[in-house]
This record gives sequence, C-alpha cells and structure tokens, in this order.
Amino acid sequence: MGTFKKQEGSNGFAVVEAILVLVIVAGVLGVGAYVYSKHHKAYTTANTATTTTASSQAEPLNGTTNSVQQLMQQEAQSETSADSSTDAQNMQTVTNVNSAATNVGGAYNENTL
Amino acid sequence: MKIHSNVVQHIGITSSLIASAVLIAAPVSVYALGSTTSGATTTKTSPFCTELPSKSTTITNEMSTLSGKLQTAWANQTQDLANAFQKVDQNVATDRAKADSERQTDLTKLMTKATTSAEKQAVTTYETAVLQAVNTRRTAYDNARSSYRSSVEGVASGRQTTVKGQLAVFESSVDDALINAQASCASTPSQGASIRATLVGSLKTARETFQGDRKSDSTVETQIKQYAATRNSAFDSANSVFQTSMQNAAKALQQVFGKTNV
Repeated sequence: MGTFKKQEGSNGFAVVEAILVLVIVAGVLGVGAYVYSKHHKAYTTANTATTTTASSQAEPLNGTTNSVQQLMQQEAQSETSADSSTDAQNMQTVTNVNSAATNVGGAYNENTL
Repeated sequence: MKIHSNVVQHIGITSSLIASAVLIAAPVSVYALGSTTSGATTTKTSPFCTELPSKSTTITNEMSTLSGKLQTAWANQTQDLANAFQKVDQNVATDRAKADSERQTDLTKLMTKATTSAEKQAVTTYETAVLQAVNTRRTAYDNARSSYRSSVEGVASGRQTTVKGQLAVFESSVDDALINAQASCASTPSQGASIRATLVGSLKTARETFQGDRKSDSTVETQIKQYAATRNSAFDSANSVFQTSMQNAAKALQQVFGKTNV
C-alpha cells in the first residue's frame, strides 16, 4: 500500500511521451518557420519595391529620346524648385524692414512727458 | 480824530493780513515753479520746462537709434536679396552643367544606335533640335527669373524711398514740436502746463501719422507674391513649349529609324 510498482508492459508509456514531445517540438518549429517565411517574404517584396522605385527615379541614360527628354525635364524642374525655394526667404527679407519701420513709431510715449 | 485813528488802524490790520498771506504763499509758489531772475524781475519756471531739455534729448536719441536700426535693416535687405539670388544662380548653374554632361552621354549612346548615314544625320538633327529647345527654355527661365528679381528689388527700393520720406516728415515734426516747446519755455517758463499740452498734442499727431503710414507696408507682400506667380507662369509656358519641341524632335528621329522605341 502506498507504493508504486512497475507493471509489465508499461514501457510503451515512455514511447508515447517521446512522440508527444517530438510532435510539440515539430509544431513549434513549424509555426516558427511559417512566421519567418512570411516575414522574410514581406521584407523581400518591400525591398524590391524600394529598389524599383529608386530605379525609376534614377535617370537610365539608355540613349533613347525618352531618356533625353526625361533628363531635360528634370533639369527644368530643378530650376523651378531652386527659384521657388527662396521665395519665402525673399518675402521674409523684405517684410523684416516693415517691423523696423514700425518700431520707429514707438520711439516715445508722449503721455509720459 | 478818533474816526481817523480807527481808519488808520483798520488799514494797518488789513495790510498786516495781506503781508502775512504773501509771506505764507510765497515759499509754496517758489517750490512749485522755481524762479528765474532777469534784470529786476523774477520769473517762475515750471518743472516741465526745467526737465524739457533732458526729455527732448531722450526722445531725439531714441528716434536716432531706431532710425539707425531701420537704415541697417534696409542695408541688410539689399544684401540678403543679393545673396538669395546668387544662391539660386549657383544651383541653376550646377544643375545645367550636370544636365549638359548627362545629355551628351545619352546622345552619344543614341548615336551608336544609328547604323545608316540617314540615321546618323537624323541623330545629329535631333541633337541640334534638343539643344535649341533646351536653350530656348533656359533663356525663357532666365528672363522670367530676372524679371521677378527686378520687380522684387524695385518694390523693396520703392518702399524704402516712401518710408524714408515718411520718416523724414516724422523726425521733422518731432524736432519742430520739441524746439517750439523749448522756445515757449524760454519765453514763458511758468506756463508749463499749457506748453506741455501743446507738445503732447504735436508729438501724438506726428506719431499717429507715421504709424498710420505703416498700414500700407503690407502691400509689399501682395506684390511679391504676384511677381512669383508671374514668374512661375512664365516657367510653365516655357516648359510647355519645351516639351512640344522635344516631342517633335523625337518623332522626326523615330520616323527615320522606323520605330518608336528609339
């Protein structure tokens, strides 16, 4: 009473345990592989898309009328941007003088005389 | 005789009272006005007139300081605009040099695709047409850019002239008001209150006139925005002509090559 005694034919239980452990390990590995695969695929797709976009932005210089026109069009856009980029600065430069002129009007307060 | 004696006594008492009143009031008046002795007469000077020279100096100095800052702002404005324009010129020159180099590389590759003399001549013609289109566009851009800059500098310069005139009137009005007040104090130093009222009124009018002139300062912003819009519109027009010229040149080349993917 109170003690366990190994019975005959109980060796099979260890085998079932081992199989169970293997199934669990295989399941974990399978899920891990699946997640890794999905993740890797998404990364590769994004990377490819980025490369494609960069390629389309870069001038191919492939000796075609299209590439020549694209080059010249980019130049025109760059010039337009160069001019527009200083518009706000020019406006600020001119309007800064307005505040300096306004300040002269505050040279005195006649009511304190 | 008794009646006469009473009259004399009455006159004596009255005189004593008047004299006492004068003795009591005199120090107070002297404290309030100060005094200026001129020959045999003594004139009271009001505190306002006493302090007017130093206050005039303070106002004049402050006007001078702020006017100097305005002059500096004008000088900086001219220099800052010149710097901004120069920066654009440098960027444009860099972009054009890069585009010229890359275009030449591309055209050289295009020429290698020409196998017949007709095709080679077509590439040469195309190259000439492209160069002409590019130069036309660049000239149009340069003109629009130059016009914009001249307009901005013109409106800034014009505004400067206008404000300088307004400032001169302001400073002159303030100077006149102070000089008049000092002259009044010199002639009637006891009339401080009325001299002050006149000076305050004159200074207020001068200040409000100058400040009222500032309302028109904002017109400069509207004008500069319009100049930029005009320049950008000229850019768009030049770009449209440029694209058409480029497309026509490409079509002519493609016809000689007998395909559209040249």
